[in-house]
Amino acid sequence: MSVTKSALGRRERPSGAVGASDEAGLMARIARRDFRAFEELYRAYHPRLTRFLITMTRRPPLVEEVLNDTMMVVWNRPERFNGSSRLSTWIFAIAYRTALSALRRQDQPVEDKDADQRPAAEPGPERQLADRQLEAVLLGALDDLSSDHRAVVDLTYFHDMGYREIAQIMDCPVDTVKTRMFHARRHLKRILSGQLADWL
Amino acid sequence: MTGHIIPLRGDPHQRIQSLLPWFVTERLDTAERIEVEAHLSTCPECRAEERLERRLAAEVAAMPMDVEQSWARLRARLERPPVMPAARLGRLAAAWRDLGRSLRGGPPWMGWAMAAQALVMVLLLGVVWPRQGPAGARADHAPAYHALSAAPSPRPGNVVVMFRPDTSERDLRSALVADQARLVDGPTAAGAYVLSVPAARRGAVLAALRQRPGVTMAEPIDPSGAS
Repeated sequence: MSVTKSALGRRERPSGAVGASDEAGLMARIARRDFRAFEELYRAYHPRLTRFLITMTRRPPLVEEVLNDTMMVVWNRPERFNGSSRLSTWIFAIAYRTALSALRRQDQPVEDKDADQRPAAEPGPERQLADRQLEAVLLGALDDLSSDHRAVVDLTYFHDMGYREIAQIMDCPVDTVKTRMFHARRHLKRILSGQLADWL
Repeated sequence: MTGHIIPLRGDPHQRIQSLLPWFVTERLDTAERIEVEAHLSTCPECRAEERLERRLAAEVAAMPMDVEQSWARLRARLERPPVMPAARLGRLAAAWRDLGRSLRGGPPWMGWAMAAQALVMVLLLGVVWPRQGPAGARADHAPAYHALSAAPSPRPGNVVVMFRPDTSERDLRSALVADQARLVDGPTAAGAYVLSVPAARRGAVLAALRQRPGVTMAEPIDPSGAS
């Protein structure tokens, strides 16, 4: 899966996404216990859910189980999708709640209210050496965030979701989504300060 | 001099910057987009933030994933035969014990009779036991949550349930007591619990659990017992 930009700089939807009408058709077939339709939906959502769950949980061993439990709910309870939201909103909401449960069981902090106040650790020479790759720096910076902050970052930047849809998924007010994103960006900026000169 | 307290929430720069993530991903509505564009046209500081935002968004968005391995595992869960209830296992074991005793002593014809009886039981189990797989994964045979209860349990569970993450221990306990359910396994990594409920009341218990606001999923997990 990849996210690409056109020559004009406009972001294109992540590949692998299924159109809304196709999704409605798949869900109708799944409600009739069509296993091939379920497999098609599973394959369409696997890259996006994997990406979201890895970013949110930072626990690769958890990702597959949470993802498959999420899709089990889709297979077992398709009637719970009533069409009042996008299918992706419904599925991501299930994944988010399932991941929260898994993290709580592992005593992982879900929301870090002090993240914004915590001073960024000064990267030492060893860290600087290891972090030459911007990706490594970014991954390290994401690691410092709480799972809720990471979820907002990922749903926004990778899945191209608006803050209202993210609020639906996380079952919280839209202002909470904006605040989490604002703090997450500030934290990332602080950690990435060494690279900012190249970026701007 | 009297000072005015300017609330941060009213700071136009902060408001615009809080919208930038969705401005660069083109997920703002028209009014918000126009507001951001108007501000950016006059504010070099927020334009610099916008450039940073675009770079940050592009960097965060890239990680190829392989679907094949995960799908194979989920398919295996759906195709896995259901766990045999302890009662049936007990009957089968008793039949084999009887067969062993009869072959060691007793009249010669008894051994063959017991062997035939055991064979009939095995065949009956094979016929009666529903196969569970893609074709058989129907709503009345909820597929494959057995994998969530993979750890051996001394009590057979016949219901799998998931609660909302914010459900208190008190609410969870009252649900179990009210529905005459006993916790036999879990929580799994994904937070599912395996319950044992009276087989005759399983359908009613499932319906009651699904009505509870704290329950996100309640499904039967073995084919025996009424549902």
